[in-house]
Amino acid sequence: MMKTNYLFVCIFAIAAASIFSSCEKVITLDLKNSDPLYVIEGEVNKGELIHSVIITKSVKFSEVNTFPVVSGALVVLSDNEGNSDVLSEVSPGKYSSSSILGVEGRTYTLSVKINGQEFIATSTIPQQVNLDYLYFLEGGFGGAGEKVPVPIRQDPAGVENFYRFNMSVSRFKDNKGWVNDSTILIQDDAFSDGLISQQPLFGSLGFFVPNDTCKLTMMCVDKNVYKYFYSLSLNSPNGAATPANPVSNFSGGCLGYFTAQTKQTVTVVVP
Amino acid sequence: MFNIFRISILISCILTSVFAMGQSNFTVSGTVTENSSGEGLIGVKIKVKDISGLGTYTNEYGFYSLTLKEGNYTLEFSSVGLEVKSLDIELNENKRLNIELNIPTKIIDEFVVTSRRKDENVQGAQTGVDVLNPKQLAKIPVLFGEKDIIKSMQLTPGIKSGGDGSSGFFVRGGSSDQNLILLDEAPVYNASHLLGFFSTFNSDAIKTATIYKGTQPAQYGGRLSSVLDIRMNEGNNKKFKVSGGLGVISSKLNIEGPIVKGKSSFLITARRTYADVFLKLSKKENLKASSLYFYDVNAKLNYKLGEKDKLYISGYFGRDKLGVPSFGLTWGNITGTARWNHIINDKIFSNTSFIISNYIYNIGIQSNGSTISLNSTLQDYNLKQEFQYYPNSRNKIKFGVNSIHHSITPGQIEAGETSGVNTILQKPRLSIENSIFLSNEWVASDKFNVIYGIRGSGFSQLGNGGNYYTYAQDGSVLTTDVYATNKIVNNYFNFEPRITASYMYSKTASVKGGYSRNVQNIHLISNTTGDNPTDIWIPSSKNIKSEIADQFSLGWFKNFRDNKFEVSVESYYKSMQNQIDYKNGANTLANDLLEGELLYGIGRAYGLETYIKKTSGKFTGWISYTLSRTEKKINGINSDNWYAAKQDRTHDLSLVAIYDLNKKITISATFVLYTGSAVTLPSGKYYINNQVQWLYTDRNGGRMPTYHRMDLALTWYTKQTDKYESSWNFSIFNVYGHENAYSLSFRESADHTKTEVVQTSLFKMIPAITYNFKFL
Repeated sequence: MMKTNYLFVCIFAIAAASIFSSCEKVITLDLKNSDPLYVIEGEVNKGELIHSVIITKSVKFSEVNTFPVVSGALVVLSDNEGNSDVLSEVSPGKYSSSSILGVEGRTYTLSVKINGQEFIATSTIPQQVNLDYLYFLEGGFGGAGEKVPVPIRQDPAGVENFYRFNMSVSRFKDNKGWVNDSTILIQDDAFSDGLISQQPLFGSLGFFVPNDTCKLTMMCVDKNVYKYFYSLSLNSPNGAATPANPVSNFSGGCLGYFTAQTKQTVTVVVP
Repeated sequence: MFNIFRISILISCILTSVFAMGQSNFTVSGTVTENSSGEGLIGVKIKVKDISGLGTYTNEYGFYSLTLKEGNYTLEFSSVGLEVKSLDIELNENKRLNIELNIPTKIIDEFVVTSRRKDENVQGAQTGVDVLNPKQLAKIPVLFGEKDIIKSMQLTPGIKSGGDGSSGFFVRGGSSDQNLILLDEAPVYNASHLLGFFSTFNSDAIKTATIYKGTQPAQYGGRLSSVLDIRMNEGNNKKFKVSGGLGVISSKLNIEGPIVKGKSSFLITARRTYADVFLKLSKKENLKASSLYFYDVNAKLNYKLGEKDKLYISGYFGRDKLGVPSFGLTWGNITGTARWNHIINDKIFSNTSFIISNYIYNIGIQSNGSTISLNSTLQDYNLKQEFQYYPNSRNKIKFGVNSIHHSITPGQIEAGETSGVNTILQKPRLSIENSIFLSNEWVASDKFNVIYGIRGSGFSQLGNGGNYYTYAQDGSVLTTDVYATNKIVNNYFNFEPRITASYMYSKTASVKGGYSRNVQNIHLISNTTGDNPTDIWIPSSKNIKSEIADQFSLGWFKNFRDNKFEVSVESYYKSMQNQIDYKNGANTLANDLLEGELLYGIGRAYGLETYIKKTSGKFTGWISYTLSRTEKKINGINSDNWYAAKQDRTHDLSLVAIYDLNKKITISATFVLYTGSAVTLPSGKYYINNQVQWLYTDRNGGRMPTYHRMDLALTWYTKQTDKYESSWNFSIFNVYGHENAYSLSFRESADHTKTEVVQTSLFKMIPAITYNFKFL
């Protein structure tokens, strides 16, 4: 449901493209440059002991896609049970913790100190909702034989639930191996609280056809992490009129997010 | 805030200036109609030839009233495009004089570029007003050859287009929801078809369209920046007529005629687009099964009940449909207006209107064998009483009351049992808007004209039995209250003083100035670039306050060469309070706590509009150039600093040229060039979640590329007999195929090492052909 707006814009864009002579071209544009900002990406997963945090910096738009890593930061992970751990830098810009267990319902705090600046974020691992199975919906959106994945789960009633997905596909027809779908895939239960949720996932890699393999990771995330990815998704070309930096759960003025979450992965050959 | 003292001064000013003269006077009054159709004529000038500067003009129903001292006079009735009629009258008693004006026999000789009276732009006190006549638009090239009053209006100064694929327009820095669009007095809430490619107004059904971008007359209210008042044709009450047009993208048919000859008439105009016919040609199966079209119907009935009473019933019905298998979007407007004109006496004209406006959208999704529908409804009931009082030849008073009941269901979900979605019904949000107005048009001398008035507007949100929230700074709910149905939740009351004056310092030149305050209590919450049918209107509430705009304007008007050339320079400054914007990452879809996602602030707009127009001869046209700035300052955006509004455009140039090659062929060209709108562009990039993302700093800190385009058209009148008329219209949109940016997007280059900017354009070059016919 979340994506209906986006969907009809897409449909119209397709229709418009086929009727009108819509066209795309690469142009050069004079863009302003802002000072580099720190980018922190941290993850705590349920049932795991090793959690990693990656710190990089933003670059100018015109530069090549190499993003400088940030070494020498003081990164501390703690939970609301009184456990705390200073993360060690396992490779440049990558910090790792190995003594804190991800537990459902616990709240984790990540604190990062770099050059006198401090960034803090908290996140809670929500109650896990099980991904019961992955269904492939045929017709409807595509033509015959074209399918969309639908994660089937029993949403618990009376609580707000937020889900994030990572999807990759291995096509039967070519031998490219796993291709990751870069679309931000999120769902919530605002319209399906307590029901067997059947919202399809619309990735950017096109429809699935029989014998393709789909690898789907479903993460139950907290509200702030969902908000981060939701606001990030609005920056897609057909999203909001006014793009903006996503709403981060970090304080202190950095980019990025910190998520404490559950994680479940299924791999399914499309029937 | 204006206090009672100042208001009473204003009202007493109105009364003293009106009743200052009392002598043995008589009144001549009546209606002016067009001879062949019997249609009432709006804005016909009635000049008292013997006394310079004295006269009046007909109102929106063709009625006029003129009070003069006893004596002999020559009255001249004139309206552009019609033959002038002069009459000698001996005024020794009150007289009723109904006039019929004739269309000149050779119509093609008449090249109407303006429907205004010849020197109206210099003489009238009204500033920032433009009257458009569908006849004059017929010759201007348009996209797909579909005549469009809103698109053509955007070629005049101060009115800016929302860009390709948008019917939204911006007047003097206002946003597109700050325009009050009226069709036979009924507010139209979404004036676009096909997501903005066409406007909802079928120009075949339209008699006149007047846009007020400066000081609005006091009888209008409810929106901040402009009023577009569109009046539908009445229908020929003498002869049965069929006309129509066949175009590449749409066709239309117009039927009108008398029900009882000379007494009553009807009009039905309908059109439908067939863009989806092209979809059927597609090889892709899901495109084949898609639908994409709109249709609309305008209908009007009018009945002369007697010498003094006339009844009009008019309506509009339009629907857009966009669908692929398993997904569909429908939206549209319905309006209905019933009006009763009553001439109380020679000097007092009354009009009572009952109006219904309705706007709906519905998104239907097929899921697991059942349907999910997301729908929204806006329903208005509107009652209006207006009196026009003509006490003497120098004053024209309008006063009245208006009450509108709004019922808005912002977006609710109805879902089938197996759909995996809950049914979430919403109670409609109720509100009532009451207003009272008084204004006078005062001809102080033959050089000095003033229109002044005041409007009092009250707005109350009414309970619906549901929850009403207030929010903390961070958007979380602060208080929750339940209000019983129709219990007052919150009240807003505002006075809106308006004044505009002109001084003719020579026979052909004048200066005009005005001040006005406007208030808006129904707000469109839009987070998208184009006109989105799913944008939501919400009433002023505990959180959203009345939007208020104060506008000052000053202008210089001059006509040259016997009114052949009109030149004007107008400037304005507008300050706006309680403006609304979204928080970053706001969720607008069926969100019960939507108001928690809003931010508030102020706005300002100022500009200079220049206009040079040639109004008669074989070659007609105009040059319009606007230099302007529109800014916002919203708490929580851009570190609370001023920033350019989306519709801010430094330069905006339009050129229109129409040349009558001979009696049968007219060619025309338009050229537009404007600064790209203000947009938020990346100021850097970073890597997260296994992909490159863009870094943003300033809201609307960047610019779209400059827009420019030239269109050409040729109109060929092939047949012109007493029984049948036909013409062809050929047009080319974007002649030199300039790829204007519709949107900008950013992506990694194919080798993933760099980032590139991708510009999407909608229309490269679009030729169109339309065949128009008329059976008389």
